[in-house]
Amino acid sequence: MTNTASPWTRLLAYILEFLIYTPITLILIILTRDLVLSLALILFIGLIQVIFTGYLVSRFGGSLGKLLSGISIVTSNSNKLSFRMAIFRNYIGYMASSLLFWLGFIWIFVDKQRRGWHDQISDTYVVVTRKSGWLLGLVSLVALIILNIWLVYLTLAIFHRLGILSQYGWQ
Amino acid sequence: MANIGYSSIIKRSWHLTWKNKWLWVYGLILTIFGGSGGGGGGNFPNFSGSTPKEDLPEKTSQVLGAATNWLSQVPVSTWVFLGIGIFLLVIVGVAVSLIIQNWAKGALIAGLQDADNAKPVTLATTSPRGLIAFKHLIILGLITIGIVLAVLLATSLLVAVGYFLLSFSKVIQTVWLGVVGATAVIAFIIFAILTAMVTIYAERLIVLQNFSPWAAWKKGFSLGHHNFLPTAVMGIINMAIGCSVGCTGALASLLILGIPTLILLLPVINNGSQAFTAPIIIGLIILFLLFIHVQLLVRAALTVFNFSNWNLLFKQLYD
Repeated sequence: MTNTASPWTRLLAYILEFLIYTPITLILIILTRDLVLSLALILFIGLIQVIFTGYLVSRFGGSLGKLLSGISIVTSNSNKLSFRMAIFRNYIGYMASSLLFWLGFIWIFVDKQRRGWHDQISDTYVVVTRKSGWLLGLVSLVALIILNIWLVYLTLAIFHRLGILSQYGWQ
Repeated sequence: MANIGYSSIIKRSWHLTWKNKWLWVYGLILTIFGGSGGGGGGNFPNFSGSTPKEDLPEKTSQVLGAATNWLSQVPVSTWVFLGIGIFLLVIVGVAVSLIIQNWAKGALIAGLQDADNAKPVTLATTSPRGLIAFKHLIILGLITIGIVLAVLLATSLLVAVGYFLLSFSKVIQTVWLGVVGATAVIAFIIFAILTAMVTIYAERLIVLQNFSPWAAWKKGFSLGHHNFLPTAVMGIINMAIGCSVGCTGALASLLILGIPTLILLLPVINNGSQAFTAPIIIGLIILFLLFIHVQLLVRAALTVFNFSNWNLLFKQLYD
């Protein structure tokens, strides 16, 4: 397979993914103003996120982070994954890659085809679909970092003002 | 009875395990998620709970009191919502665990057969075989659990009914409980061992011969029943090798990693707990994680070795 995505672009996509879902969690905490209720909502959001990511990968070829970075996941026949295969790759495949100090992910850096263990298990490749996609990814990264810092500050400020932090023993 | 070459099986299994390290990934998954079956020794220890102290210090009781107040302020609906979320998470966790375990099992069994036939073995070539087989392997697991529960229930009912029917005589009741109860326990243990053997053969029948789950269970029962002794011997060999290699590996790791641990702890031993600085704590955590991962790797290789032994025994008995 030609045109495989570089490990650094994939890492960028992964970080973007994390920074996209963190504000959702923080906004939930701000809206509910209750840590226990927020925890319950986070559990449901987590489950929905599993299904949503599977849908994105099977319909558009990648999760939000990958789509922003201009890369996508394809099978060895250059087709999109089925929904079930997308769930399998992104969850069970990721579990396998996380073993032994995330060796399966580090494998992306040493493999000639730039495939991690989760790629090999699901017979997929991550390819570049937009040549300068990494630029948009970088810009999105900066914007999301700023957004996340602001939201964390806002969350702590609101909780401090409402005295919720002292309720849980925080000063 | 078939003439089994145990030493040739062991030599061949060792060779296949060492030459096909990609299969250790499946061994690792089975070690962590369960299903490594047949590996002896090195079980994780059970930590029994300690008895709570009767007199709590004042500060602890203050914290517990504050926590209780906080807990009572959270509305019931929130707890219900959280409970539903946790319940769903547990269901998903169990489902994922079952899928990953049986997928890895199927892929490992198929991968070992390919390795024995000198075919290339990678994650990409073996994973699809696991994906084809995992549903049937899950159903096989459910069939086995169902049969074991049914036998357990029938045995318990037999003992209980007899006990109540013989209530006219305490002596006969005690004799019934003692003799029949003990016989039932022994019979159940033999049945459990036989069931384990059936599962080993049935899994290979599903993955390697495309049997359906129920047909595999029946044929597996026949194979286990007619080859009880060779199968038991192989099980004992697996356990013995597992114990010795596992324990030796653990001791060697403790010795090798114990020296740097001791070096890190020297300041603490000499100067007391205030010498517990962040670098020492980080160093200890890294050494601990290294120890755990080395043990996991050893157990992964042993799992592959065990599975290979069963594969080769199955090949000799079924072919």
